[in-house]
Amino acid sequence: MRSALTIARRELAAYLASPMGWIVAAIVLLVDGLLFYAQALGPAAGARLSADVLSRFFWFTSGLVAIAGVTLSIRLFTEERQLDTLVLLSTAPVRDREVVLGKFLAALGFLSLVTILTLYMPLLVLVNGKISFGQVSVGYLGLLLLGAAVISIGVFASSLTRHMLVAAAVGAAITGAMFLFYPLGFVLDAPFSRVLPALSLHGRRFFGFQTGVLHLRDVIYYLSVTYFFLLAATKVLEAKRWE
Amino acid sequence: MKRRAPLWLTWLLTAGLVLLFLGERVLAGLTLVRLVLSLTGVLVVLGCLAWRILSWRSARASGSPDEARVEKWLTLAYAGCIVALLLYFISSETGMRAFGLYFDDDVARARYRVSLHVLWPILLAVSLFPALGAQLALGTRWLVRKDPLAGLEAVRVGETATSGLVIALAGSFLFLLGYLASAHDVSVDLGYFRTSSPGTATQAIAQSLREPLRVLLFFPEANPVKDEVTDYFRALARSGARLQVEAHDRLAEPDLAKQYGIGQDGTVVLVSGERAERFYLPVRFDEARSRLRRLDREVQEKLIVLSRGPRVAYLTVGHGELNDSASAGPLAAAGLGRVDALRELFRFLNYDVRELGLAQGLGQAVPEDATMVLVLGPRRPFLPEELDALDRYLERGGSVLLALEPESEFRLGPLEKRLGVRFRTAILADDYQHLRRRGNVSDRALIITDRFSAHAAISTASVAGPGAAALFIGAGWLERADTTGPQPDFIIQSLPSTFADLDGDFELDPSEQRDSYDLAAAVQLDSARALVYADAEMFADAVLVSLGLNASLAADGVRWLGREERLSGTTESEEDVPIQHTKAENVAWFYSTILGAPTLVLVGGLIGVYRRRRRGGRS
Repeated sequence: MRSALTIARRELAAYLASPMGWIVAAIVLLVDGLLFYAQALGPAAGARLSADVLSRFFWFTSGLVAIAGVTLSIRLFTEERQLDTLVLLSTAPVRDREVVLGKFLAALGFLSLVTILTLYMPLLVLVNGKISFGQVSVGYLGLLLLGAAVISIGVFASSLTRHMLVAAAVGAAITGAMFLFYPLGFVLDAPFSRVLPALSLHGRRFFGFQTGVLHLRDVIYYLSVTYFFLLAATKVLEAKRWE
Repeated sequence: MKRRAPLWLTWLLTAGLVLLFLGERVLAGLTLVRLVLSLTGVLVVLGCLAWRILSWRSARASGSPDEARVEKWLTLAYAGCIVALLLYFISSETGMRAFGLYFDDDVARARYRVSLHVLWPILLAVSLFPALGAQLALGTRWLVRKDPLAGLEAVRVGETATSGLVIALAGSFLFLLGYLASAHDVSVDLGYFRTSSPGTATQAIAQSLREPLRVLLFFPEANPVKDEVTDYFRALARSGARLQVEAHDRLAEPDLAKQYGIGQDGTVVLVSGERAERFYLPVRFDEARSRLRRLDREVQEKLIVLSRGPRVAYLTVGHGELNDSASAGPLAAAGLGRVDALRELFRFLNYDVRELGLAQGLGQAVPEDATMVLVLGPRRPFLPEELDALDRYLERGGSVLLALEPESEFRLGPLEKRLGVRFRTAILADDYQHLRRRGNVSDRALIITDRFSAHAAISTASVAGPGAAALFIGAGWLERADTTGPQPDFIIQSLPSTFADLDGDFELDPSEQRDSYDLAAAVQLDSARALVYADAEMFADAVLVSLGLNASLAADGVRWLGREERLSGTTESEEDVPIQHTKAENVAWFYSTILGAPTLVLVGGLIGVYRRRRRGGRS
């Protein structure tokens, strides 16, 4: 675990020391602010109830978190392969799972930082509206869980290839497909209509977090997805040792 | 390494399983298609197993232990797939009949089927994934080097197959965990909730009751809704009301329940003297939440009924009023909307609302039972006889609310002298403080104000804190009509940035002047009372429903006209509120959300990066 934390610290420092990391953060805040103003708050949005404003905020922020999660995670292993530094990690006295965990934690840490920076928008709603800190907390928990799941998918995609573009395509495809499972469940017959919504990353899964209702089943789901893809990434790394 | 089975055999096995899935699950409704696909799938899978067995035997015969080991694993994996399919088959109706599996008990049968429905996919996954893993490893090896590398091959293939097995087991476990979590879900609702507390209006009404108030709660024992309601009434008692809260069980005290007509749990009975009023709340907390948020309103409504009998309010009709826009004529511009919210307010205050036009005798006299008459934004003039009837009504001590519109033909006539108020018909506009609706200059006619004097007719607005403002839409303004006649109290003024838009272009021209214009007047004439507002649309549904202070102005005005101003005050509600802003607030929010925060983060981050690099360069 100590090795994982060491790797995480190093990677996180790389994010924070790089101008690109802060540019990504500013772009996320800018787009989020635009959507917040246009969809939830500004004149075009009309007079929405404060709980509805907050729910919308979490809804479109979740989309941004998913995009940012894939963007931040695809470079984690592809960059190491491109720079031929992965062999250093492979030969170091560090287990593959610790490498995967460390890189995952770094990406999650940075994404969490960017997500928390959006807090001023719900707080603006709190000034005039009737919302609770509990509702805001549950919403942010949902964003972090979703972000963790998406980052784990990105880590898995990144472990498969040395080409960042391919990793991005694979990561985006898996994430996009899992987002689409929920609406697909409405148009398909059984068993897809039962199974797909249950596997969806968004839709009904995220709705509780938007409205301040914390369901244990949703927390377990996101943690399960995160664990599964991190395990898959670890196994891919182990398999690629033989190459 | 020699192999008889081709490298694509496992992919063929997978394809066979896919065909089977399509036939059994996706296209099961098309009998012929299902038969063809399922049969083909089964034959392909069986064929692959047979080929793999032959390959295994060949490997054993060839004397290569690594090859034999790998072939054994693959054969076992393929066999696992076949067993999974078998389990699937015997879980189906056809399979149960074929194997003679009958159950007398439906529960046992359901358990049997559910167990197999869980088991066969897991077995399929833990068989197929290792096979695919092993095949991937073999395929890689075959592409990279054609010559066998003795010793390492089996280990590598075995490791990859084990990885596949681990992923399959993990996925199966997590799937089951997710299913159990869904079936036994636990949830916590942390959304905003509070039971409303007793408002000042409720407190005043409760204190004014002649007889002490008994509150009878008919709820189950240890009920959270009862606890919330009890806390509410205890707070009301602490405010000075003479009341006593009693908890009863309708089944244990049937006589009491019968006396008050209690048919279900969750009933609250308010008793004052001989009179009793009751209302019902759901006993389940999640169902009662929305009602508890507006409990104060519900209690206040019942207390008003307990405090006095019903009264009558008349709304004039026939002149294109807000409540009768059809009578404005086909060429009249569409009004802002209806006054259902105002009617609901009257119902809440225990008033019976009736219409008063020529057909109802307005040309002769206002009915004797009228507590008040409201004239809401007439667009066509009253007949002289109608104005005289209102004038005589005021003379005998009646109460009148006049809400006027600048763009109308209505004129006060004799009421101007009676009330000492003149109505000016230029529209007021404010280019600094106005509500933003359409995003163009016409929004300047949506003026807001927080200039309220201390008068009983606007008591809630008078004590409202900073930031509380009322909305006036396309208002004119009032001025004193006759210095020798009655002296009206001008109770609401516009903000000093307001100007009278004489030419209707919403721009401040040199001939137009900024000032604090009078928007409402209260007139007390011996026993008569009148309120004159320079805007009628502020009482329309679209405004009253959205803006609490406008609703308070209406409620306090009605109470003052009905001589119940001592009962004015707030009605507490914990219901959600719409987020609305003035133009100035919109600008502030726009810049902070879109520019402020991202710029701060970017600049702060880049400065940090620069400093870190400088420190790194120095060291």
